[in-house]
Parts: sequence; structure tokens; C-alpha cells
Amino acid sequence: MTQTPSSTERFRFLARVVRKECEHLAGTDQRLFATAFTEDIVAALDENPLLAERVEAFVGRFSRLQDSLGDKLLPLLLHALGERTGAAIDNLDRAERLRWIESADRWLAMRKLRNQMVHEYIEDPAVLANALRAGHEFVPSLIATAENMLREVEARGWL
Amino acid sequence: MVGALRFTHPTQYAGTGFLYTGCTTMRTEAEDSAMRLSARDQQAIHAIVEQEFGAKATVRLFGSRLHDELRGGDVDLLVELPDPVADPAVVAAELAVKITRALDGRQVDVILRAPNLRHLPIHDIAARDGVVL
Repeated sequence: MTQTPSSTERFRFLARVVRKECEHLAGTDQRLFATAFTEDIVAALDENPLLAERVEAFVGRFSRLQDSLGDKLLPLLLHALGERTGAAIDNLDRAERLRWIESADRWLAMRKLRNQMVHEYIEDPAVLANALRAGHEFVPSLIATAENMLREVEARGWL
Repeated sequence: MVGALRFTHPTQYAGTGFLYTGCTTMRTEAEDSAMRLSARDQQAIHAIVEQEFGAKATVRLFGSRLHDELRGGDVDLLVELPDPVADPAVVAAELAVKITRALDGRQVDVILRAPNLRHLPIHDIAARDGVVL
């Protein structure tokens, strides 16, 4: 499908955003999980404002990258390829079939998990620590998805 | 013929066994729109929880879906497990996704209760107001 100048601009803009988001998430991820992230550390977040801010940066960056990919770049890319776009869940199933994401269900679970990464309202440290560790484990997959989708955009000459 | 449950108060049907009495295939579109959660959806949730955690696990519906007069709202579920759960956040999120799939994309939130998890006020609220599916 031929791209209009405005959709090319949109691709370029999103590519710049996604690359920055990947870089920033990778940095925070490395700093936050440099040491074992135990329940005790999570339970003491209220007394450790610097670490609490770093947790918040991680969750914010994780969320923004996942949303940029799933809610912005994915529908744009599917549309540009002439695929039918629809509800988020259908777009993710297509992305799985196109091998841009490993698993639509895992993607959705991670999205759901984000609600359990917020230390102000998740009162069980076991749940909070588990959610953050699972987010950390998903970071490589999230960044790989960004690379897969950007590679596709680039290969089509849309950047 | 009323083909699916309409519950105005949880106690009206809690423990009646009505849920499992073959009222799944008689729904109409009109009933669906007025229904907070159809019998078919309730059975689907029950089946998924049993399949994932065994017959000893229970699942309760609580929150806005219990009230006919409210529109929309997520499906809030409390799942009570008899044994400790190793990855509570992941287990809850994955279960919510499975149920969302079964409910045609409806938003689902799952709260877990298990012997190794901290007991919180939300557990009491869900246990008090919720209905067992």
C-alpha cells in the first residue's frame, strides 16, 4: 500500500518515540534490577523515596512503550499493510500471527499486570514484588517487539 | 421465559444452584442487554477457574456487575485458593486474560486470596458482597 506523506511522518515520529522509549526503559530496568528485588525491599518503598521514584519511572516507561507499540504503532502498521484493524485484542492476535509479538495473551497479561505494579495501592508486598519482577522479565520481549515492528516499517520503505 | 439470571441482590440466588440448571441456551438479545452477567458467562468463569485451580477454588463476582441499575463496569472477581500461590500477580493477570477472552473482550479484574497472601479489606468486601459463581 502506498503511504501518504502524513502517514510517513507519523511512522517517523513514532519510530523516534519508540526508540527513545526503548532506550529509557532499558536504562531504568538495568538500574532498578541491578540487585535482587525482594519483597523486603518492596515493603520498604515508603521509606526509600529514591527507589520508589525509580520504580515509578520503570512502570511509567514500561507502560508508555507498551502503549506506543500496541495502541499506536501496531494499528498504524496493520492499516498500512492493508490489514483490517479492530479492537486491541484482535490487533494483538494479528501481531502474534505476523510474529511481531511472542504471544498476544502474554502481552495482555502484562498490560493487566501494570495495575499491580503501583506501590501506593497494592498493599501486599508479595503481589507488588511479583508484578515488578514479571515486568522486568518481559522487558526483553517488549524491546524485541519494538525492533520487529520497526524493522517491518523500515523494510517497507516507510521511514 | 427468563433465560438467564437477573440478580438484584446477591442473596437472591447465592447457593440456589440455579446457575447450573440449564439456563444457558435460552438467552435473547434483549435479556443480554439488561443482564449484568449472563448465565453463560457465569458458567464460563466457573469452568475456567475450576480448570486452572481445581474444584476446591471458589470464584465470586462482586462490584458493579452485581447491580442491575448500573451500566457497564468491569467484571470484578475474587478467586479464593486453598493452597499458597507462587506468582500471585502473574496468576491473577493471566486468569483475567483467559476470562476476558471467554467473555468476548470484556474487562476483567481478578483479586486472589490464598494462605500466603496478605489479608486485605477488599477481600472482606468481596466475600461479603460477592456471589459465588
